[in-house]
Amino acid sequence: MANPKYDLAVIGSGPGGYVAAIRASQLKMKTAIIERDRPGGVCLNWGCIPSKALLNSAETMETIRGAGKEHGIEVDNLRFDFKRVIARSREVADKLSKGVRFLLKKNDIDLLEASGTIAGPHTVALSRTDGQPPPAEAIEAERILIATGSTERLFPGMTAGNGLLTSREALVHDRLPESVLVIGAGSVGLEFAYFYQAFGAKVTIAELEKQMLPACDVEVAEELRRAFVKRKVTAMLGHGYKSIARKGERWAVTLDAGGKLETVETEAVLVAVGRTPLTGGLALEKVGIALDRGFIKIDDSFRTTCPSIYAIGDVARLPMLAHKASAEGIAAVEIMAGVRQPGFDLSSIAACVYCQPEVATIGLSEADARARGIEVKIGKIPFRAIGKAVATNHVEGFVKLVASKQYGEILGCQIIGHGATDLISEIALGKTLEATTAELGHTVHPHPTLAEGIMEAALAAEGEAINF
Amino acid sequence: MSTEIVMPKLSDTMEEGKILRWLKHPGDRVRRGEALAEVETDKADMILEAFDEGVLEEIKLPEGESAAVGAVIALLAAPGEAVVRPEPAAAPKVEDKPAEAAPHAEEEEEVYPELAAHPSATPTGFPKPPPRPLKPKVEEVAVTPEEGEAHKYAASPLARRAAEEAGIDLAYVRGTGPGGRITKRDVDKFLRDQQLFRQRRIVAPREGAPGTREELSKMRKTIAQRMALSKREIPHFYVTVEVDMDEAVRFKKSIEATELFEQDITYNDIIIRACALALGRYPRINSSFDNDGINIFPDINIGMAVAVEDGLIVPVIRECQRLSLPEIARVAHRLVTKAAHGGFTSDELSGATFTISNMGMLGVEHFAAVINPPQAAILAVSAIKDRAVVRNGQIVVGKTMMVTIACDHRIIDGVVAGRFLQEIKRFLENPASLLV
Repeated sequence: MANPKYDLAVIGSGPGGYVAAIRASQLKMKTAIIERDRPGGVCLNWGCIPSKALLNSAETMETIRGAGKEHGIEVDNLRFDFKRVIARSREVADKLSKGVRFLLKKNDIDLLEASGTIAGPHTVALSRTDGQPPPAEAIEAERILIATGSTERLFPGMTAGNGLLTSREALVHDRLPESVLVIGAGSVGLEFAYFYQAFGAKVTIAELEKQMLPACDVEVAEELRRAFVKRKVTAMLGHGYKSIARKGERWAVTLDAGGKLETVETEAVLVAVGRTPLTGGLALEKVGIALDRGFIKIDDSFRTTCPSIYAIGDVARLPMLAHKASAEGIAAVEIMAGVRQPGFDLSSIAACVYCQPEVATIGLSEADARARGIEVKIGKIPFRAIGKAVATNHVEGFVKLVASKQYGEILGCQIIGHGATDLISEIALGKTLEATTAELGHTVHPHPTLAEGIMEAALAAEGEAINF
Repeated sequence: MSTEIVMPKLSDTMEEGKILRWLKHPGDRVRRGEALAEVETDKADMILEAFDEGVLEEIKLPEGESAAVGAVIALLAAPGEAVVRPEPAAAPKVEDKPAEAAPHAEEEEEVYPELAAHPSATPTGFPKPPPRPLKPKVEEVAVTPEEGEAHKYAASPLARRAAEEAGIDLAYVRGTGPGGRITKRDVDKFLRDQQLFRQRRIVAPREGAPGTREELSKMRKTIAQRMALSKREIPHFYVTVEVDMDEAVRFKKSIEATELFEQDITYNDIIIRACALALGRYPRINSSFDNDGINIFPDINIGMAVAVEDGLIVPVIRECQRLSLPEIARVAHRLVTKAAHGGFTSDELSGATFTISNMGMLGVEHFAAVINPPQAAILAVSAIKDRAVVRNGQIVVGKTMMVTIACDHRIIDGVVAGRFLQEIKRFLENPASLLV
């Protein structure tokens, strides 16, 4: 029997793959999407979404704990069911995964639940590991889009289990550990550190670099460190991972601080040291697809070194962010259809961390801009100068806007504070429209809102801040 | 299906046109309104703009050749053709360009893009573009460029500010943003194209009419006095070295590819940076003869000779010893822009302690310059050319550049001049050092 034929076969149904498939269907391509796990990929099932559910529980805990001191609302006998906290997170993930399944169906996209292997420039072979027959032996497609994403990374020799966790295990680990060592102070590490401390675990966070969020603006990193220390998290910056050993029922992790060794004993260890692009099992070599430092090599049309095969998202290049993958998926499909010019602007992709205070950054930091030889002006407004932040007791953090001295061009923005991840989109829009400090500063912002911080920061860059 | 590009009638008396230079090469993507080529007509040199979108498929009329109005000079492939087919042959990618394009034309363009804006070429040389394509929705508010209401064009605030600063009328800029909106990139591109166009004009400067006499301008008088004084009083001697520029060319390309810096780095910037480093090691070159003493200047202030109408000015980049390569590029770009639009402050035109005269853009093989007193030396930079070089006992094609220093023999001896040139050569041949 002849293999089913498609215009486009997408491998992977994460935020890159399923969005690309829907856009392809809108552009009248007959599309199939291949998924070996659950629709929605890591983002919906094992990343962004379930972790946000956990963080929402953590923030609720923190709010109730602080209610007495701040509002005089006393709560006696505060208890929680950690199993329920984890279960809620899974329910949220299930709900959204079903949503993706529905969207694929609505858009006439064939969801093929199997593992895909590249069998030729236009062929994807399908297989299943659970003994069930795959929906087809193989499918033929004019073009193939690889959107397999990435997976959690462990140190060499480590295997997860017994309280040694990556984010994936942590999302279903329904026993609250008494103590947790988080290795890596990137977004995932910080979010889980915040989560566990909110429920009363003793949390230590170790980071090889001298600051949290190593690529971030140093002022933001320092503000964040203070916020964590205030929440009784032990921050071991400049501490790299050296070795791990099982000691009775606990883990003994040895850290290296520039030659000085220190051992931390802990019940659980969460390893959050980045992710690896998922290229294994695809048989890329078969059609001559080249890799570049582990990522699939693409050109500015997202085309791999095999001309009928494209790649987007985490598997293709940094930064590993769901919204970047979605935007790339749409761009790749539109370029295929000839309705968009090649090229993709990576300079206006925001990066977010959802612990409290939240961190959201976009574009260049002050140091980045200076290193590129750009003369800059900085507008920095602490949230304690913003009425709404004081009224709602969210005074941690600030808005820092980096603008060019010459035109007031918005080069970048870093926000740390409550709601930062929602506020940053105003800057993203501003960058897309090439707004300058003048437009940001002269746009009337409703009062009282946290977004006034952005307006004030734009005015501050021009030396015209009103409330600071 | 490809579209034919014909020689347009750019003036009402025009019968034929000569291609001075192709600005696009086979395989390049072309957007509507983009500059395709410079065309010499009976009236003036003009820019030929694309009327359609697509990929330049083939050039039929080579540079330097003429064709009658209406003759086919190039073929344009439709954009759809280029992208719909997965086979790579249909749409040559940008990276494929060198293989496809006439290599010489491309190198010439790449090697001297910095060539200064030239005020003698006023914007009147520009043909007015046809009305911009606007979406039907906004048609009722569309105005033609002739009405001059630039603010009605869709343009980003940033593009407006950049255009205002450079003194550009947005009516002449083609927008490539959504719905034809003008972005800062479009303004930058317009400025670059304008400079390329002006560069062309320098090659054919206006000469006086035969049999007439002209009073010297003030600038001309100053040049006459100072050059005569220099040759009368300063015993000049000249030393030349040939610099292997292969690495520098690669270096410049790799910087461009990474878009690391706000300002494009030009060869001029690279040479200034190399001189600044070399002068730091040979302060004697950065000095002045003073009757019975030698004044070694505390700072390295490098002047760069820029041609302007009937003369030349020397804007100065101050304290080069403190500036990184991107900083030098930024200051140099600002000064060159000012040379075109005016607005120099007095300290931007005085206080040079060393001068560079770069005639690379004129394809000059080799030349020597006259020292600008009270300085002790001037560096004459010639074109980067493909020359036969010997490498590992084999004759191969390499890119080399002649640089000649003129020195004041009262205070500088041949040995110092030779060592100084070796130093410059070392930096230029190992360009990564310029970023340190």
